Amino acid sequence: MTIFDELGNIYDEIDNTYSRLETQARTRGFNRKEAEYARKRQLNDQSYFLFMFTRLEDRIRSLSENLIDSKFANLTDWKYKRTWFILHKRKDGIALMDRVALLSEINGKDYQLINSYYKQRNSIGHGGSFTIPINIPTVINDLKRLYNDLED
Amino acid sequence: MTITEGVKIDRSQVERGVRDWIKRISDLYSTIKSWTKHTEYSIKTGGKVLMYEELMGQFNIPPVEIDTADIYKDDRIVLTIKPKGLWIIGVNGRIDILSPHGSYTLVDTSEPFKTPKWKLYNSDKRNGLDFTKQSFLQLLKLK
Repeated sequence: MTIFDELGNIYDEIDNTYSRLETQARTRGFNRKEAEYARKRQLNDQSYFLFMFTRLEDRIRSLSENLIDSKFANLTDWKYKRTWFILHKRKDGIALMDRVALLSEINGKDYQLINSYYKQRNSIGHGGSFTIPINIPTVINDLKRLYNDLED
Repeated sequence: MTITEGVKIDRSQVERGVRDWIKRISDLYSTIKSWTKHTEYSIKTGGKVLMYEELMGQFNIPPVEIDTADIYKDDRIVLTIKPKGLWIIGVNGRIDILSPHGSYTLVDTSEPFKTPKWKLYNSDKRNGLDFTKQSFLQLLKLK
């Protein structure tokens, strides 16, 4: 079981609990309670999305650093080595999407997908909400695939 | 309508997307109504949810109200259907189905403006099934 499945299972437990309460509130005509549980489900979406995305971020950081270290260590011709020398010197300051560009085709499908999720992550991470709704089953499938497909 | 980075979208496409989403939801309720005919279940539209998504804001398109629906058995709600959003990464719209036993998610996996292909994700949210009369009636029987 991957970390995404594990987190997904905990997410499901919480989502199902609040869904049950939301349905009960609706059945009883308690509109404010219904809205309150809907809000809790939304916050659960955000929390677990953020948690899952950090796992992918970690993977991107690790793969991109391996690539930079390896190129820096193994290239001998300065003409090719100099770019990697600069990246190696500044590797703590490389932005996430620049790291993704090292690992996948820039503006390719995977790059765009990670960028879409990254925008949501930044919005939540800086105190906002999703700028677009998300669908956790899709997120889990996408993040699992990207986690495995990205290569250094 | 799936979110595609780098693809230019104009106001008319967003307006068309909203109209199409409302129609897909209305068609879905009609389909469910036909599935519940001659059963102990019935569907009624309930309260509204507000649809005001990022793209609508970008083009100054006012919010719209979308019908939710409830499935009843003996005057008791057994399922609630709540449209969640249209412009979602990777899918062409999401609807939540809530029950006293947990939540399910219905997503449209079709391309924008094509015939909907609804997939139902059960409470474990992992394996999507085609949303058919059979999978819907099965959902009603889950305890």
